[in-house]
Amino acid sequence: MTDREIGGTPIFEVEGAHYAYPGYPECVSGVSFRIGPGERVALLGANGSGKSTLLNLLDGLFSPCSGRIAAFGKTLTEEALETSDFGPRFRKEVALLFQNSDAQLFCPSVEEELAFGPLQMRWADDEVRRRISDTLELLEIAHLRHRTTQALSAGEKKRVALASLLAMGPSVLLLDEPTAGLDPRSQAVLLDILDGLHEAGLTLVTATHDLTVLPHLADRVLVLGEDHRLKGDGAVEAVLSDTALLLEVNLIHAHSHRHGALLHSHPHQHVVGHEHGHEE
Amino acid sequence: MPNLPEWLIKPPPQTVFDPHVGAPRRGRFVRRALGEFAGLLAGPFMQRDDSGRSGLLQELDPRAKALGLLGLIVLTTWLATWRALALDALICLVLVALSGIKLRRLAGIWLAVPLFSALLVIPATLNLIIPGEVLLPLWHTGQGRWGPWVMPDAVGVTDAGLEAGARFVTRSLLCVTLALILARTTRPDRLFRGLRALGVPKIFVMLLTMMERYVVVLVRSAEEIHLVKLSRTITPGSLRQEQAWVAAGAGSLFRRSRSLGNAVYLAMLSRGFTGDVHLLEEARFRLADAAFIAAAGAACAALLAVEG
Repeated sequence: MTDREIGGTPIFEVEGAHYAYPGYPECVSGVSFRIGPGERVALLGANGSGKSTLLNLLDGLFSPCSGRIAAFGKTLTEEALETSDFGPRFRKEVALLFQNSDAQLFCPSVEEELAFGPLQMRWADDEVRRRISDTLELLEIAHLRHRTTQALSAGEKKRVALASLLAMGPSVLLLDEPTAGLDPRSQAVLLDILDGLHEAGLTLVTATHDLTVLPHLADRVLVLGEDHRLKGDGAVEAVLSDTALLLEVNLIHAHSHRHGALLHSHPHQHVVGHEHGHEE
Repeated sequence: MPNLPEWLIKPPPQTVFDPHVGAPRRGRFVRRALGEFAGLLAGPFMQRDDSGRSGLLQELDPRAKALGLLGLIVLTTWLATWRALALDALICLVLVALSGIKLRRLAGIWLAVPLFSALLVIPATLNLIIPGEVLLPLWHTGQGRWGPWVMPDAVGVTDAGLEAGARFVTRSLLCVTLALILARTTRPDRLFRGLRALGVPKIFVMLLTMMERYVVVLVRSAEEIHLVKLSRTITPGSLRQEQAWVAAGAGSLFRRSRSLGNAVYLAMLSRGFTGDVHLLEEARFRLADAAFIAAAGAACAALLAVEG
């Protein structure tokens, strides 16, 4: 399955998109899919499969070398994003959480960070301050308001980065490895927040290679292969039970280990616990 | 299971090392110096405790502070008489006392600034630059010509050169002290906003903001590169090898900073940045702010009067 029927007008339509960084081999190869409003989709793939690049393409930061990407029915091009009506609306509605929080948090204080996006929207200062307060309360980080961004822990940085996006009131969140590098507690807090946002109607598109958090992040999975092509599109349960597919895209591997004197192999997903049997 | 090469399969080491045997490794000084340099560089950006203390200047609007203190700094660069410089120093001390700035934070700067500014001004103390009575002859030239210049019989430190040098060092010290008072009593984001209010172009303020934000990240990257190298160094290399490593480290840091710069730009674009920066404005100009500007103006007038 390479595409699924979605309800309502699609938010994203990707048709045969190819992308290569200048001077490098192609990292997105002929990918096609559609994402509908309110969906919770994961882009699943091994390192270097093109997940982050695809998120950047969906956010209009890069333009495909060939093929087409449309958002809200309009083709994403540099020209379209520079127009006064579509550009600001797209930037308000679609927000991208970068994997590197240090890149995302470029303002000196948490308050300034949250204010950056709303101020680019030319909203009044009072409205900006109201949104900052509400968002900080929502993510339970009001105590960080006047802290410098460089003095935050990794978990706090991730929450502030997410808050800086939510302050703009987006309807679509693109998340690049949101749980990477977080301790279990920060990870659980972030997953709860994302769950709440999905319940509130936001569309979530998450790039990840972490199979353990996949059921918490998505209902539908787009699987990218190491050849940068779309290898699968289906429900989380179906993808996680498709051992052949996961082996093919290098997300699980034939794992060997010993039980006393017995050495044996089986597909291994690196989930928190796994059960298996073997013959004596 | 992977087939490990024979040399990798061995029992845990049994040797017990005598902690008192063996000379300390070369390079410990370099490592400490690098760490201290990183701390010195990152320090002004990380130590914000003075801006959070209660004090006269901490309470003021950053625009008023920036206007008053920048006015004093500009005037200080112009002062020439020792009486005016002494009054300026007194004003600085009063401001430091009123702001509750920890003196030990300034002490390091007060030691470093004269040292570096004295190094800069050494050539100016010679009679080659500023003529005067030679107090300390350094070498005899035999009064020849060197291109269009007529060389004096003896090159040395002059009384006028020494005085000009001392004035330069004092002015530098006072200017740096005033700048530190401004920086230490104001959170950087508020300081940059104050500069913006004073008409400094937005893009310049944005650049300052970025620099303030990322200098610490890059300093930490440099430290990490050094530590990684250290963890894999068994015997120190030759000078040429060390030089090559420093060059490679600088290149790696440059690549990282460029990559981070690209990512930051994409993050800004993603949040609606179109080249024009918008900042939250603070409309909080009170009577105390006006009083501070008036006091700074009065101090400037007093300095001008003493200067004559």
